[in-house]
Amino acid sequence: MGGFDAHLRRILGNEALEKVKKSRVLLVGAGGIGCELLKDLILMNYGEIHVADLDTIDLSNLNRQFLFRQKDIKKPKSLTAVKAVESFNHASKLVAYHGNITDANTYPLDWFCQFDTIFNALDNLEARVYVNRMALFGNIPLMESGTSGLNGQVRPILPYQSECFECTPVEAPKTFPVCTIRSTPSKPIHCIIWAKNFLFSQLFGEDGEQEQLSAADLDTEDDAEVEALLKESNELLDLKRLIKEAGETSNDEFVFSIVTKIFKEDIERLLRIQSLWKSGAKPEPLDVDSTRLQLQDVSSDVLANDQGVWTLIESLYVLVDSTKRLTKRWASERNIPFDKDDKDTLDFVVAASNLRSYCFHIEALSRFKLKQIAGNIIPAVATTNAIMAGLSCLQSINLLTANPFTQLRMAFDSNYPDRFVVPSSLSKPSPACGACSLRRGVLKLHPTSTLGQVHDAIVEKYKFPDDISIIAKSRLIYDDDFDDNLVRTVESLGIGLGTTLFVSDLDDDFEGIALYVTNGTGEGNDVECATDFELVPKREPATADEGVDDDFEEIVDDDLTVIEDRKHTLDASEEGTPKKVKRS
Amino acid sequence: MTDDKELSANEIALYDRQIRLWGLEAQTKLRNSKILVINLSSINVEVVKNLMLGGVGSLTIIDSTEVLQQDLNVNFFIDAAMVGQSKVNEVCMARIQELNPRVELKYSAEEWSTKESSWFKDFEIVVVSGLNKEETRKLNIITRENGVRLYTSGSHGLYGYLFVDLIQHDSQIKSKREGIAKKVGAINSVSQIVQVDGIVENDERVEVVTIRNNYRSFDEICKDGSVSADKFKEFFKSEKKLKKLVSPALPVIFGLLDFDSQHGKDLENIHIEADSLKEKALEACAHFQISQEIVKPEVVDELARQAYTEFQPVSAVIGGAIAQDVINMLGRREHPMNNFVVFEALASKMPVYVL
Repeated sequence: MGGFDAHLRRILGNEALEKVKKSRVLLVGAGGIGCELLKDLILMNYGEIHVADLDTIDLSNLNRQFLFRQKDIKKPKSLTAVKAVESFNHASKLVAYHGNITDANTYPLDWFCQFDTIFNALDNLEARVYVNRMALFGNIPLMESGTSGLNGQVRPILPYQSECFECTPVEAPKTFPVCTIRSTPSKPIHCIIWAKNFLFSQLFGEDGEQEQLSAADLDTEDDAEVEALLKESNELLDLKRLIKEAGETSNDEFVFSIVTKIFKEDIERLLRIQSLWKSGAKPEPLDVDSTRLQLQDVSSDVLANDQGVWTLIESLYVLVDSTKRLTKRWASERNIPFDKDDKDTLDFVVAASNLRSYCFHIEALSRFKLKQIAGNIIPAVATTNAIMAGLSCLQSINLLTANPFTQLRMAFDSNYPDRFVVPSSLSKPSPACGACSLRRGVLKLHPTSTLGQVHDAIVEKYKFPDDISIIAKSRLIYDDDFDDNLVRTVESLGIGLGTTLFVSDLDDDFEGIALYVTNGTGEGNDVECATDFELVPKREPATADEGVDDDFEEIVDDDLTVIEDRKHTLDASEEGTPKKVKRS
Repeated sequence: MTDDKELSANEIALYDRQIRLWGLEAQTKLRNSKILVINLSSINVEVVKNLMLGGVGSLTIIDSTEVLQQDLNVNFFIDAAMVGQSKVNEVCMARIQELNPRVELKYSAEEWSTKESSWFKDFEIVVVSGLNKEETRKLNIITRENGVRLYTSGSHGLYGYLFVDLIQHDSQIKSKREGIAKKVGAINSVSQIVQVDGIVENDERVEVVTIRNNYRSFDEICKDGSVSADKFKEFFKSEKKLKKLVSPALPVIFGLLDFDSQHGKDLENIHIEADSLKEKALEACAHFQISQEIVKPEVVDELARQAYTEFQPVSAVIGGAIAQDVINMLGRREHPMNNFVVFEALASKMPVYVL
């Protein structure tokens, strides 16, 4: 008998197999791709696998996250996944973490640095960007992967050698001008954003969280429109009061006050602004009195109708019903966030969005369809996840070769009849990348270390030929004209675990560097630059700013961001394959 | 087909994320399907997992072999306590059933070759792996006799293949309308556009194209003179491209089909000589009328050493591809694979050849 790893010896050879057995890897995410990756990594005999996820299990996960069962719903994904694989034959040591990977106190850079490879199995941009930065600081190879329906991709990242996650521009969230959302909607999405981000959060969000609009926020030149919208907002605050006062009472009147204001008076006010309706159809205010009379004909069955489109009357019925449910809850919860899986909040948003659609002659949608848009649900299937996880694991074997950069391949699914997977060689890092054009490293210090010590340690370690400037938390804390802080402790300057210091030379001859602060291990106040690298002469074009937020005042719907990682990397396909891959 | 039972609200909630991809109609077709899986190989473990999760109607697994040590790292439904037992033992099957209690799961330790041809009629699709050339040919003759669709596959370490016979299959492909509308007519010698419909969906013009694929049986492929270089040229227009795009693994993998099948056999006893494999690969080149230069000694050596070994992540890719195609086929969606797919794991290549 050859033992259970005889096949691995034939496939990988003894040397590579030993490397795999000695590797400690981090798996970020125990969801769709994560469950698949965990299974593959274990059966490849990876030495140690640490799994982190902050999420709990939901019914809609069970069609693909094969380590979870009906009885596991609401349990933490990471712990459940690790428990589920106990029956697998394996020699891997497994460690599970139920927590947020971007929490620097629980998962500081030192913690990341214990891993030989990081496998990403994430579903959101924020965490992807964060782990990418950690991989850069720690110089750890990162296997990035993602899927959406039948589309999927794997992107190996070798820090500073190949493109990092942020080298290709990340698709900005779709935004809509305030006036489109508030005054002149023309598509279902406009009504959905209005219902969810504006109306719902104004009525059921936390007190004081409500949007305080000023004229400058409104992206319109029309004075009448500005005035109307501001008035609308103030009146909404009055409605919020109605909800508070209604509390546990079963009186329906307050609901109809809300309906009358939102779907009748506000729209009448918009109608009076002639300039808005020069082209396109005018909206029609809701005839509250007559629709109200018809409510008695609606059966409560409508609440179970997920696939069909509710009529105007039915939408009003659900709006009244869900508003009463939410008002009751508000009395004790005081803040109800929108959650696509919270039926009360979903019903409200679907009903309100559809009522607005009816007023503006826009197509109404079924709850099933509307939930997908409001909750940014990306279709997900077991097969694509399994394929991408398999490809990700297989590429990790190339990391063990002498020259991973030339061996590693990105992989994309393809629906061309003549290939099922499209590979692509790795590209060099983009000189303009805001994340990896900066050389990154670790700075170890103590709360009582002074900024002077930090300054001296950096200048000495990286051999800066002249003086430097230091920026922390978007604030300049030191340059040659501003040395007041040198005597202060880092603690008093708000610098501690997880802070990033951006350092550049005053003559701007070199690329800047970024140092991640961790706790020093030695005695006293010693400051230590723990990462070896040399300064890189300034490249053209100048590097992009480090994550400075735009002060754009638009309704940004974060949840509606569709991560289409695939899109911006597809151009790099291998020779012999078309430049643009699209589903035919 | 049997009466199409409707999906319950509970099922819609469970399958939510995939119904959003392929629709209620395809999910209903999936739910009413009957599939036979022959041999619980590593690839088929993945196929079974994916089809159970997807929610097929009924799944029958047959495998006459016993669990070996070497299976422990390539089949996550079994464990060390099962070594020596039937691969389709009760505990293993219970683990499969747990993935989705809604699927009707049947199993038996019978050998497919002992079954009457008409037994296969009950199934819409047969998924098999680990057969050699002669066995594949025989099984495909049976599936054709009964109008059943066939997927076969094999695993050789960092390489693998799959073969598809959907006989004749129509599927619809939706895409954003760009430029000139597609026209009804032949795409190539195996597929043609039979219908083009324009619809508007979410404010966008969408084209629904119905494509008909005709398949060649394995028997046809193996007949002398049945495949010519012209056939390859139809897909890989120039000689240079042909050389570049025909995988050096293709003739070697095809050559391996000439050896005995090894499903359920101890790896210790499997020794493929590189020289004899090379000979078979050259024969395959002659059969397909492709240049013998394509046979690379290092690829032959690698495949001789890794022949018949299974590897979890490779199985995940090939098993995922098969399950995806089965689901697409049942839902009559997307481009089906037609008909021979080679996987080169480290290069992340997965070309599809019309043999």
